[in-house]
Amino acid sequence: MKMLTKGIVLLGVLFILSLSVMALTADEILERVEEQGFLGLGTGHLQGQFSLALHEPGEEPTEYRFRVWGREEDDGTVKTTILYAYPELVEGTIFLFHTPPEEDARLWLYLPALAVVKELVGQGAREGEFISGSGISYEEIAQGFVYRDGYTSELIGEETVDDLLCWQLKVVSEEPGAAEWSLIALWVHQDSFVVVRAEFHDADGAIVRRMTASELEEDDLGMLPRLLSVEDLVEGTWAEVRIEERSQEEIADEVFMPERLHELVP
Amino acid sequence: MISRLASLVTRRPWCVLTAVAVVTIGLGLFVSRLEFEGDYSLMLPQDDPVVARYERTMDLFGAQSVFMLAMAAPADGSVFELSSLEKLYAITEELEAFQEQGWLEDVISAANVETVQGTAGTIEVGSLLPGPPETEDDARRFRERILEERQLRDVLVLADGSASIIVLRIHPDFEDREDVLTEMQVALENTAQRYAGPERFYITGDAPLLVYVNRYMRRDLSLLFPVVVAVVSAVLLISFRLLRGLLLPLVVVLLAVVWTLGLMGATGHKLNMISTFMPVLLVAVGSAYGIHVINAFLQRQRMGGTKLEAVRDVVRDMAGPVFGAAFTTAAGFVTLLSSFLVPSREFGLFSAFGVMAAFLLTMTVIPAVLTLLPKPRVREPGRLLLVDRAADLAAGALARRPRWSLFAVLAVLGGLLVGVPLLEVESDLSKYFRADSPMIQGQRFVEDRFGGSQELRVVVEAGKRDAFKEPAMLDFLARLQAFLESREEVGTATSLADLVKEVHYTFRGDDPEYYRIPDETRAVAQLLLLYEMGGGEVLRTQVTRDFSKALVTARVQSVGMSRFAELKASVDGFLAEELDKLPHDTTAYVTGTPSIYMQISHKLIQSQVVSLGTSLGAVWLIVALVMGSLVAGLCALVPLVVAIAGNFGVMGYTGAQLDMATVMIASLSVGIGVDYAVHFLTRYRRLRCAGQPHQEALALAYRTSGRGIVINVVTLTLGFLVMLLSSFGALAAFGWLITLTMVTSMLGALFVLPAVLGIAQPGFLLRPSPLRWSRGPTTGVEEVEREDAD
Repeated sequence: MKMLTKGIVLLGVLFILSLSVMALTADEILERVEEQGFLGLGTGHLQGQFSLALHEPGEEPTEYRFRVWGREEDDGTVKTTILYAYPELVEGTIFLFHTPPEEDARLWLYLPALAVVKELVGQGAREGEFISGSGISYEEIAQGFVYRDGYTSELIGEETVDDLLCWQLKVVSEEPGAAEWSLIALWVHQDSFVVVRAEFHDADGAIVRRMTASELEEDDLGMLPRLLSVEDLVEGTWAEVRIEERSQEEIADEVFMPERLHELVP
Repeated sequence: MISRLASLVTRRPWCVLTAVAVVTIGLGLFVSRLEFEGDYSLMLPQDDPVVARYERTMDLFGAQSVFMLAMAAPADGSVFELSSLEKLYAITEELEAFQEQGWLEDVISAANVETVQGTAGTIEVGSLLPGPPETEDDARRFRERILEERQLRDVLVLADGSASIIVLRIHPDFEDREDVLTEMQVALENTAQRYAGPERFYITGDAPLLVYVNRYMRRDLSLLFPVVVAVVSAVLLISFRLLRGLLLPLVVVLLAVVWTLGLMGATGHKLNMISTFMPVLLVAVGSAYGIHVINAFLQRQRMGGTKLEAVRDVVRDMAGPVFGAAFTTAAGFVTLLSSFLVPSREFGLFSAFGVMAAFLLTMTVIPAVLTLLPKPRVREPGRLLLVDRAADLAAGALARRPRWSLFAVLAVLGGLLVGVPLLEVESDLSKYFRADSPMIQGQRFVEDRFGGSQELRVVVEAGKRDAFKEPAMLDFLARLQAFLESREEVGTATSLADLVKEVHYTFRGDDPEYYRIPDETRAVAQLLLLYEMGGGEVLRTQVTRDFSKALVTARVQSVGMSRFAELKASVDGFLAEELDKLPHDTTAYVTGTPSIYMQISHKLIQSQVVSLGTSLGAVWLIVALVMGSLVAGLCALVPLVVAIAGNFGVMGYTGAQLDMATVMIASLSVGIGVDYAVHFLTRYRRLRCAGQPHQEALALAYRTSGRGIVINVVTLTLGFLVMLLSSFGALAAFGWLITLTMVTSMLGALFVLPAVLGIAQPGFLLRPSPLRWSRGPTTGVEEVEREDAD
């Protein structure tokens, strides 16, 4: 009898849980997506390594490797340090990002060849491409992709993508021409809240950018897509970001101090 | 065959006319499909190595075609004034809409350009002002920033505030889209009109050149064609004073024009700057065939007999000579196929078709209609006693003193030949325009103020990734820039080296000592990374993404081909000397619009030599075949050589340039001008064969063929003089030069050729032609005797 009661209770809990999941709105799904961040910074703090390869038709790919440290402070400020480990010419270059909640981020750059730290000011620095031609901005690398600012979303159904059951969302610019994209079609994996596919439409409705996340794996911090591919369908170029490792070890404060950046050794 | 043709057109005139109507309707349907082509890069064959480099450079570094919109401050004002700056920002924003539309790759203006600014602790990549200027303070700040920025000062805004410029770089996909470029041009003109006052606006660049070429081609076609039709109508009316004498030759040439344009449309060819005047040419040249046929018909009618007999006789008698005239003319055009320039080839091919179509229609439509119409009332032609007297005098003088005559001609010719080395070759498209064209006015303004309106590009290839992050390579780019800027023809030159120096300088707190390339490759790489991280973009118009290839761009004035050639030679010399000192297997080449122009020039000279040789050779062979004598062929070339040599000499003395249009004069005059020699030789030979002595034969030939030749030349020259109304200065020059050549061809045929014949007395003159139709129906003695009796 006890077993039966336990079973019923468990089933009840599972049912309620499943109901709660099923009842998620599009906005709630996107909130969960954004919480995780691209590298998984939503977990509080992490350090890891990732690589980026830029592909152009007929050209050898250009490769970069990075080490990354990220931490969310008590006041909600997210601090991210990215160190260039490869190629050799920019090895040791460090990029530091402080993003207080509800405020503009501050950025610093340390150039080892000139042994100088400079703060990058201006909107262009925050919105500029992380690596020219990658189609990924610093904010996206540091904090993940944002789908709610300036857009309204709608849950339009479910679809299986690469054997993963996904919610299908339609994200539309609140005001025509105000946001970068007129429409974003998203497929969000229901178990991990990872966006496994995103298609970005321009003002004419054409798909001009496609993002796909693959090789989903579970590590100590949860689910992560090992490989993220961003295709520029107009230029015919694409960038591949591979998360090689990540962990949740403690990080010294100096890693996030502009004046101590030169002490970080690749 | 000719008899069968004569029989067909007189027995079944309606069938002939129906067949012509069917072909005309069929081809006429394609006339509306005919498009215009003004793209100068398509003038060279697409496998030309210079075109291949031009295209490759476009693939690597983007489009080379630009619109430039210059804003000139009023005499007592400055573009730094708030009202002018507001306009600059507003216009830039309007034009950026075309970038979003995908038509433009870049809109480069002081209102949107990104610069690097810094302090001891910060660095910022951004616009000169955060937004459009609203206050006098903003305007003052803008001026200060412009004066500080080496990359903008006197490049986008003149330091004295007298002018600013916006450069619009066309997306490569739309560079040869006439509709897009025209729409852009119209938009710029509207913008200029809306914002004008007190500022003035000028539009120039490579792209508007294309638009203006297309505009002027359409204008020429709609103006010149009706005018030439009117001129030829007037000539026909005066000549025949008969409605059918006016209408029939005119209808025939109009049908030939429809057939030719229809064939062009059907085969997907486009009208270009040269072929736009083909309809004018066909009307002028083709109407002569109708004149001959109508004239012969009226002559037969005067001699009596029925209408049908007259028509049959005309077809039988005239088909051969008119075919000979048309065939030699077409052969002259066909030799343009040996040209290295696409427009000349197409012009030659379709003009040859048009001429042969005019012949075919002349020999079918005119006889068929004459068969159907009632017999005309013929008037006796008026006697031209003065002309006859002049003919006798000339014949006498030439017969008595042929050597003196020849010596006089050779002396004049020698004098003209001295002028040939003065001849200049020109292929800069802007030089084809009239000086008062808005395009040229814009170009002059931009070149006066900003140093150049065309782009000369030097591509440097190191063959190694990241090579252009190396100080040695960047120093080389800087040296190349400095070399280019030291040349008088060059305004400013830009390259990646400018950006690296500017970022380095700013990074070091605006310390002038650091306005240089850093000493280490790593430092360069990291500065560029900093620049891109700051929101800047290392322009793909300056270096490829892998930094293995770089581009130095120089704004060059339209200084003409010889100066372009000098500039290119000096750059090649600089490269030859410097490249060996560089690391890697570095190579470099010069490209850009001027290089295309230079190649066109080169090809113009080659085309001139080859097509002239080919046309003279072809005409010699044809005449030799028709007259059964190689010497006769050579004799026919005498007036042509006189005309061509005279043409080049006059061009040299008058400064008329050898360009895409005038390069065809030689071949055209061979094709058209040979008719005069053939007409004269044929008649003179018949008279000699009939036993007339030299002087009498000359006098009779002058009175008969000479008169016809003069009428033909008058008709043609009046037709060609219509070209003086062309919107293109080059075509106007073509008009008067070809007119001159026609006249000298005539003079050569009537005065130099008889002198040569008088001296050489070649044997073929006393042998009848082996071809029946070349022998002709009469010697002309009968006609002259009849006229004398009248």
